[in-house]
Amino acid sequence: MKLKSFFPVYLAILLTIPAAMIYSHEKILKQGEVFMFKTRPVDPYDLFRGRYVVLAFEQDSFEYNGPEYYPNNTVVYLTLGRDKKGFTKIESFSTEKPKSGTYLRAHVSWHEKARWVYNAKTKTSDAVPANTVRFHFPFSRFYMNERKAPKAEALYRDVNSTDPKKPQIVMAAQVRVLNGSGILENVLVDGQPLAEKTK
Amino acid sequence: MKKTDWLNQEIGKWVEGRIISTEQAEKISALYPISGSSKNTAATLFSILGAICLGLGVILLFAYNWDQLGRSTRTVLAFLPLLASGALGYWVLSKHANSAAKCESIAALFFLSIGATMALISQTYHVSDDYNTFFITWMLAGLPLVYFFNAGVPLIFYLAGITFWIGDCQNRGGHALFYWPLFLLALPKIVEIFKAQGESIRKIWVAWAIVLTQTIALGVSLEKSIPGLWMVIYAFYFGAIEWAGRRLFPHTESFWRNPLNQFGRFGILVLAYLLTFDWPWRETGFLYYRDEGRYHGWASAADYVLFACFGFLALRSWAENLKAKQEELSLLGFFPFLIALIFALNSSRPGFVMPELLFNLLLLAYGIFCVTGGWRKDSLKLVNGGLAVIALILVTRFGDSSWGILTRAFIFIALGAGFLVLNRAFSRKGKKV
Repeated sequence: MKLKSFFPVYLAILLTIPAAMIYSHEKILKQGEVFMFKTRPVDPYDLFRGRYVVLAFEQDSFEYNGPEYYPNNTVVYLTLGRDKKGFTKIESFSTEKPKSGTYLRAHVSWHEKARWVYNAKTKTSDAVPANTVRFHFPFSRFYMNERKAPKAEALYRDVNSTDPKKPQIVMAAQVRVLNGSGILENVLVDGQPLAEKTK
Repeated sequence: MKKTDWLNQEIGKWVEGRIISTEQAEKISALYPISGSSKNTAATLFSILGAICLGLGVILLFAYNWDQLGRSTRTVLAFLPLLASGALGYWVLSKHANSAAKCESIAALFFLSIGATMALISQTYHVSDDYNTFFITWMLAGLPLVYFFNAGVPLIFYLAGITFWIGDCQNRGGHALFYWPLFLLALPKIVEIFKAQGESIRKIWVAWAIVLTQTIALGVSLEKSIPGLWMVIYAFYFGAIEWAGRRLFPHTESFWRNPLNQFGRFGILVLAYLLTFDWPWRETGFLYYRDEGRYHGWASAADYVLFACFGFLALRSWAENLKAKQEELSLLGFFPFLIALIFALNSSRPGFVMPELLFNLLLLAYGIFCVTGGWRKDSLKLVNGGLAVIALILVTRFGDSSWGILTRAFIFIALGAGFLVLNRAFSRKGKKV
């Protein structure tokens, strides 16, 4: 049998790749629990997928009490909860899958064992013991139209502004979480979708 | 009638008259392609360029992010490039499987369409942390196109893609070692392309893709548990590709038409030049073996396999050059074994030999050997090559502050005197002749 007679089979297999990608993401979007992560975006570019805003999260670390050291890229499971305002907070983390609660699979980006603190008296920076584990979430990009992305960046500057005259804006990533996977559904600015705010 | 057309007609007559064999005729024909085939090559090139531009255009069109279309429309749209390329591909395979231009261009377009589809889905669902998965899925999904369409362009995309992928893998603390099994998946087609008679543009392109990607991939994929072993493996690798170039492109030594051969020779010289510095020799050898953290002893097995395979081919290369009495090439082909020997000596007793000094002298000796050899053979190329090597070493060492000023002064005076004596000797010989 000639190789080219397998071409339709190859084509069918090839079509299952995007179909599987779509199915897995749709499942999380339909069945996943909604969490709001407080965020701050910036605007870079991907060669293949276009312009996007990078999301940095306010709640991306955990003050740890244990003796273990977690190297960079360690896979961890974060048990998620909500604070009084309804924003996501990390309740605990473990290298094992939790048996209950909603959890998110993430990577350790940095386990901080010491922190440099400036001493005004001696005018030197001193190392202070710390035990903070920082995480990298699986959703850090929000793809946007190339005209809207720079406007989103301008909004970001407003969010981070220390100028008291500027209005206080709250930016949050709306994420659906299911069985450890998280999909970014939208980015909201004061409860309104970022795409609408940047029209 | 063009000269090449006339020659090919004559070759046909020579074969009929049993003046030359069919095999010899094919070899001569490969050296002088008929004008029709150059027209075909131009047509193939333009159709490939057209397909690549089209594919890249589709990727950019999707990258624009048509957010007003909504998620469901965009997911349906994502299938379009794949389906269109699939239909076109089926048509080409059914009706024009023998047209190199159509096969190469549709395979290139198809390969890019797979990427466009995956990119649009990733964009629609804001998938972020998957650059690594995105790339390897794309490459593996596109690889069968190489076999279906008997095409070189998707093979070049694949080789470049897996090289990029292992670089990203290593950045994330993963194993770049997977490059080799991925390369083996493409090897049957690479062998088939290289086995074909003549020096087709596809063969030359694939050779270029291999030397450019594998020279990078080799360095990235080595585990480096024995610090410094990379220099020996790289030396053997350059020796091996020099041999491969001679075997696969026996009729040409041109830089553009025989990249394997020229890259191999140039690579050995560049490596030898790097070894004239102190930094590659610091804390190298078996005494500094490392098996902790990001280094894994088991993964070093691939380093030893590559060492043995490339070493064997480099040895063959050297032996063949020696047998053919190619003096300069034999000397250059011996460099990888000198590198291995000096590495072993320096590893067993650091400081016992002064490797950087030895390599300065070796390169200088090689340069002088080329100049004298070129002068004897009346080869300006060889004389200039030798002079370039000598000049490079001299300029580098003149400005090298790690050697004392007085030491450099004495070395340069000694070298200057040596060159003047050499010049005198040559002048006398010239007068005698």
